[in-house]
Amino acid sequence: MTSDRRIGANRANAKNSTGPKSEDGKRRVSQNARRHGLTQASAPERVLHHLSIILDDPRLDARPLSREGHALAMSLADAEARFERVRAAEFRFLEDCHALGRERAHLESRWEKITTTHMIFKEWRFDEHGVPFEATRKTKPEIKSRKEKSKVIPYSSEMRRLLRYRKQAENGRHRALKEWIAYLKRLSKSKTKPNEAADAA
Amino acid sequence: MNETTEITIAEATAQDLMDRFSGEHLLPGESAADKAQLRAAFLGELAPKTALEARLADDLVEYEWEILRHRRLRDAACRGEFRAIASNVLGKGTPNFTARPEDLTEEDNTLLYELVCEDPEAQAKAEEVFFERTSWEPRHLLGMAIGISGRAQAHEERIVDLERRRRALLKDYREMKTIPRVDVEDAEIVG
Repeated sequence: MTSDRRIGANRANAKNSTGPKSEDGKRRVSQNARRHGLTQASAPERVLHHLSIILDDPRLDARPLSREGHALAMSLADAEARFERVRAAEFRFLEDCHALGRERAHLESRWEKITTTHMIFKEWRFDEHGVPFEATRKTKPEIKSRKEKSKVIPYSSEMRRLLRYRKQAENGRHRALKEWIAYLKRLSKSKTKPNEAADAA
Repeated sequence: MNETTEITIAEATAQDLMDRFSGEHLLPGESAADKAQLRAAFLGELAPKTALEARLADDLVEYEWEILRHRRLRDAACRGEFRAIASNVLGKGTPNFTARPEDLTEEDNTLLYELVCEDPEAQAKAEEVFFERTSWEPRHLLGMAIGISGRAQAHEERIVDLERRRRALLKDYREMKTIPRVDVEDAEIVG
């Protein structure tokens, strides 16, 4: 059990170093665990760029967007930005494979077959009543042979991860686009009805 | 440093430099001009009217380009596998044993190069020579290569997935085009 003295010393030591103090340092260490950045929030400027593309539609000029419309447009813009980012990451990976002469690196993997062995001993033991019985005992497994083989698997772990994120981004974009199209359809129906009524009158 | 730069610029053709700085996502061996041609054909057919439609049409071009890329990589993988099997036949007499470089003569290497070259005449001639020498039909070996190439299968799966995605996006695009348009009274038609 940890003594009070040790706990006190730990607390005192922890006060000496509790991470970076400056804003710049905090910002830098916040990226320490970053691996590929594909799960972080989309860059605001890219989302705004896609939002401007989505809203650049004459069908939206006649009537301002409702709150639902804004939410759907933002959702689609965010999905577009995510998809754009993951597609760029996949391309960079393929480009690196070519540049480094690893054209097959995204497709192949090596594995090794390890054969182990152990020895079995037979010995006499006694149970709780003192009756002898024969027991077997195994030694720890030892490596007998190690054979490296090449196995072709569809993609390396890095490529598989990229494809997984890409699939998520594509599904998200597809869903958001469907909702946006449904919203535009509703909007066009609600717009045409008053005109039809006016024409009929 | 200067010397390296001079050599690089001297060796690079104008087309290479254009491809490199075109801003397109192109791998080595892909042409920006081909992609521009593909884009023009797609945009001509899809005729996008709004910015979002143009963006979706551009995505369809990207899908098509990726499909073409994976087809090319799949074909290259099949050719590589076929070449390996053919070298086994030439070096060991059977496709099941791996031939070492020392098992192959200079003539064998030339024959292997011609078997997978781009020129159809040279390829046909090489296939005849290969059949006479080994009694193995090259097309049979090619079929074997396609069957066992894991890389080719991986690219094939990717192509199937991309084609499915492209079809879904094209459906969404056409659905979007069916939404009634709004006539802008004071608009001018440009171009």
